[in-house]
Amino acid sequence: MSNKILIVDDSATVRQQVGLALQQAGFETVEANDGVQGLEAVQADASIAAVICDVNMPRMNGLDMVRAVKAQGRFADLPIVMLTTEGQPSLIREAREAGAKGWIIKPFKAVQLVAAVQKLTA
Amino acid sequence: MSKENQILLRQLCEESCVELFGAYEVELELQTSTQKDNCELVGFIGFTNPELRGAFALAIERPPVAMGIEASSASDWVGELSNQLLGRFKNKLLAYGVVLEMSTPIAMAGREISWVSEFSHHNTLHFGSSNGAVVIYMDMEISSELELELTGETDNEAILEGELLFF
Repeated sequence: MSNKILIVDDSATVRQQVGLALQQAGFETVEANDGVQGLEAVQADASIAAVICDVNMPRMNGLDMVRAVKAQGRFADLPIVMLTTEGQPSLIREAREAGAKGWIIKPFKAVQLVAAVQKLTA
Repeated sequence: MSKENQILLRQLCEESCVELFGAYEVELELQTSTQKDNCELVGFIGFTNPELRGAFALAIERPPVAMGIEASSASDWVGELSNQLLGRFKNKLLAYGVVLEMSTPIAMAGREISWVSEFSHHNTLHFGSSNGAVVIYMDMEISSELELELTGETDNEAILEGELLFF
């Protein structure tokens, strides 16, 4: 399996933090700054092995992006983990029902994030 | 506006800020004086609910050091910090059955920001830290209909910051 991870977040700083943590663990990373770009990146690159995705973003939020990705059957098995400030149970349920595989509340711990990605891409 | 509600919301915001900066290993100390600070970066973020609307402005002297942060991204970082501050505040309010909708943040640079006019729905928290001053400007319009009582319903409680859930 590829070790390429897509990071979708409207904060360049968060993308940088997540990217650094994953690169230090041996992953390759690519970035998108909203759900629209994230969806385009997934469609354009079949080698993406997993997605780390924010929830609140301009243009297309993370939950809508998950729904749009999962609506395309070929991405049914693509693991997506939400990384967000949101801890609202109803949103977490929405993400699970949309097909996301995990939910992490910011600020994240690098070790925890890497372990989650390793588990989902093993 | 209920004075008790205003006090509780201010307290929840204060706790959120102390916890957030603590997560980045910056210990904040609430200051009672309102002496001039040297903040240069400000993150603004708004929120809304049928009974509670407003915005927070988070002003800092310099961003707390975090993994991979470069000086060039300091303005983006203060925007993200305001987002994480409001996220914590929102998550605390869930226990009271209040759900806020959040805007996306914006970041700006500027010195000596202040309220144009002081209104009763304006509040300011001044903190000192080893990383410089941190100031939160809270603009909160609170409906008289808002009831802030702990619901005791676990379904309303947010998961904690830093937690990981697998589905």
